[in-house]
Amino acid sequence: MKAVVIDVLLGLALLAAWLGCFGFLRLRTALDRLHCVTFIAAGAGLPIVVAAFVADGGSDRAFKILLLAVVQLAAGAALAHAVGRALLLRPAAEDRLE
Amino acid sequence: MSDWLAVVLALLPPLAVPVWIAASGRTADRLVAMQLASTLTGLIMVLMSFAFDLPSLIDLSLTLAFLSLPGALLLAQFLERWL
Repeated sequence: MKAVVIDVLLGLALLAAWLGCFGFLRLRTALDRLHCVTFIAAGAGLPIVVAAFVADGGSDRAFKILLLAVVQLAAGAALAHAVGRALLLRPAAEDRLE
Repeated sequence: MSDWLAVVLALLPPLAVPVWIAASGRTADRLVAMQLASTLTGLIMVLMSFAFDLPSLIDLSLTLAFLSLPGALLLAQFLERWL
């Protein structure tokens, strides 16, 4: 039963990663592509955290993976904001120079 | 081959996408591709920790996550001002 649950969770994470990368290829602008990064961090990260807790129980490794997922989501939000701002300001600066 | 290792191998083709974009895309796309590659690499290292039964790999993954934040912020600043 435990192995089946882990397999399903890993399958979900894999599906999210493939979907995110497919979207990354399909979307044209860098701003659109930022959404794919967040999608993978949330869609693949959370099932892996749950799979780690199912496999390991409340071990140090499982809690570190939980910390990793939280850091990736929090840092991802900050980075998406910073990168999005940079991408928006850059064309504006180029327009002013012309 | 364990399930964890199979998922690690299955995540390598998605990792090739940001690597390819980072090598050949426009500057803005390269920055976003670097973020995606960093996220995917962190997840792959977590899975490798279970596949090879190496708990210390999680520390490496955490280090990557913590270091990618200031690195990407600096690159975003460079992109905004100078690149």
